[in-house]
Amino acid sequence: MAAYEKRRAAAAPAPAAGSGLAEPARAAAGGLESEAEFLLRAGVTAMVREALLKVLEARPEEPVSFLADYFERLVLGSPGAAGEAAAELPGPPQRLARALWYVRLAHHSHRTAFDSNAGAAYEVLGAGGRRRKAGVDGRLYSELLRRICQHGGAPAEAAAALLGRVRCRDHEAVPFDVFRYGVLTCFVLLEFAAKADALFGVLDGGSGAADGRVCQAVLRALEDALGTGNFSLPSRYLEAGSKLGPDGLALAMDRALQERKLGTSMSRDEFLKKATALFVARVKPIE
Amino acid sequence: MSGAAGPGPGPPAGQGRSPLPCAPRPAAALQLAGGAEPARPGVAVIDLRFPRGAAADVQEIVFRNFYTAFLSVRVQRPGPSGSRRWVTCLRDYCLMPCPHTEEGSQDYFSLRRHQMLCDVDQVTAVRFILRQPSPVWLHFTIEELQIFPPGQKVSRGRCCPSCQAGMEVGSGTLLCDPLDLFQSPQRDFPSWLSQLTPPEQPASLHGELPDPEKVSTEVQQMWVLTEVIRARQAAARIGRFDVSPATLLVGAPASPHCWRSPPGGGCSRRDGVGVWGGLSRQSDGAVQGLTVALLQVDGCYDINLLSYT
Repeated sequence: MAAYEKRRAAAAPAPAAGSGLAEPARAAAGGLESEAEFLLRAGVTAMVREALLKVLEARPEEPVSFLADYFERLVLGSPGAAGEAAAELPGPPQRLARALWYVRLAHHSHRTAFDSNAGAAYEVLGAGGRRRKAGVDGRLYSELLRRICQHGGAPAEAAAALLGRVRCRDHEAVPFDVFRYGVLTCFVLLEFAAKADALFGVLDGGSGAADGRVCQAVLRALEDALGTGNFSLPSRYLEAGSKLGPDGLALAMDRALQERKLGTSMSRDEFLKKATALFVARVKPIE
Repeated sequence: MSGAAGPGPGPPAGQGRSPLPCAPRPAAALQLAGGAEPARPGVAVIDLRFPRGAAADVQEIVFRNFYTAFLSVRVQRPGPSGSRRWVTCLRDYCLMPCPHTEEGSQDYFSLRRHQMLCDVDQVTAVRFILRQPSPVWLHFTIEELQIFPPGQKVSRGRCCPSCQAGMEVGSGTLLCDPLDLFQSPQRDFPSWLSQLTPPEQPASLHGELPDPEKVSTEVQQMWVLTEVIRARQAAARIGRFDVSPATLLVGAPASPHCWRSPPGGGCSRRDGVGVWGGLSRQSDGAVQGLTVALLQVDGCYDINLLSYT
């Protein structure tokens, strides 16, 4: 209350200390700019603007809980808030959680937003403390990647294989480009697994198991279109488009069904495993 | 007048066009016989006969000039009474506008049906009468002679690589159609284009096929995701060096910042170039107690920096 009174005195006419009823009227009358100034002075403008920008980038389904989460982290992270050394730099688990939150904000296809979030996560993860040197080492990086893959729908073997390709040794220092590449690859794997899941949903037509021949044909067509060799030719896109068009795929599936008499059914897990193996095989390992 | 030309040599390469499938080549040897006098008469004749007396329809005649000024072409066709007779289908066709100069002397020419004076169907023999009135040129002939029957579209792209705009003959008709120059022969198509599905749907598709449109959508998105990742390279290398007993790696780390000395051993870094001659303990524990036998160090580096587990 005293602080409130103090601010009121800074405004031009000092109103009599009294009920709050008179104050809004006074404020409305003579202190319109004082409100804007007040907001500016308190840093509320900048904070709200940041929060809005984050919401726009992330486009969450529940903006309220997103904003609540955001402000909570803001409070936790600001140095003067708790005033204790414990709150200055929380331990690795908290930093991991915070970095995880950062990288999850934007979808990987929004490249600039994703990059800036990855940068923020990298800073959070690598912030130095009293006992800790600055920089992200391989251990933290691998742990972050593991957590990203854990919450997605990718099969465990694929995630492990991918981590084997992009991981860094525990003692190695991870530069930002490598960090961003690893994180991006994990998110793309998750989306790929989701797409493969949706594809299986189409192939099995509602039942739990799809015809093995059809699945094999589709996977073979995909692998064929991916091919090997140089990827800089634009004609490869045309080629893939013609091979993976509805006509080509229908013919391939039809041919597969006619070729073999007996068809074993393929389960969802098996299909996911095969599909993600195709993906992981094309990830460049870090060296 | 000497100068026997062999039976049609290979087609001219001409601006990178691929060689075309040839018409049935006249297997008879080309004979170039002129006047008997050693003084150059300025006339030469080339006779072409089709093998085994076969008759063919002529769509196009392509050749390369070699200092021939005027060309007449006669063809032998079955006459109305059944016998064969010679008919002139091209008379004094000008190949070189000025016989004394070089213009047109080594050009490619293409003669089409519609330029001929008569119908050139069922031709059994073709005779080319070459004239070169100028005394400047010692020898003249035409080379790389090829005759194409109708139905071969590929030949249209080959006429006169030298004249882009077409040549005007005396009668005002264009020798070459400029549009023909840009038709690409069908051979050059990549193989996947020729495997395009035929327009009519195969009638015997299985009834229980999943919806191809949806499948195609999903698969194409998966393809795109994989391509995105494949095209994206890790821009910065992590600068990892592994030492095995057989190899030696001495180099500078790629990222000089955030350098940490590994717990198992190794070296601390000199400013500038780090001599990483130590080892990292492999995570799979395969290498134990390795000594670096072949370390070559420059004299300016302190060898005491190296340590190993």
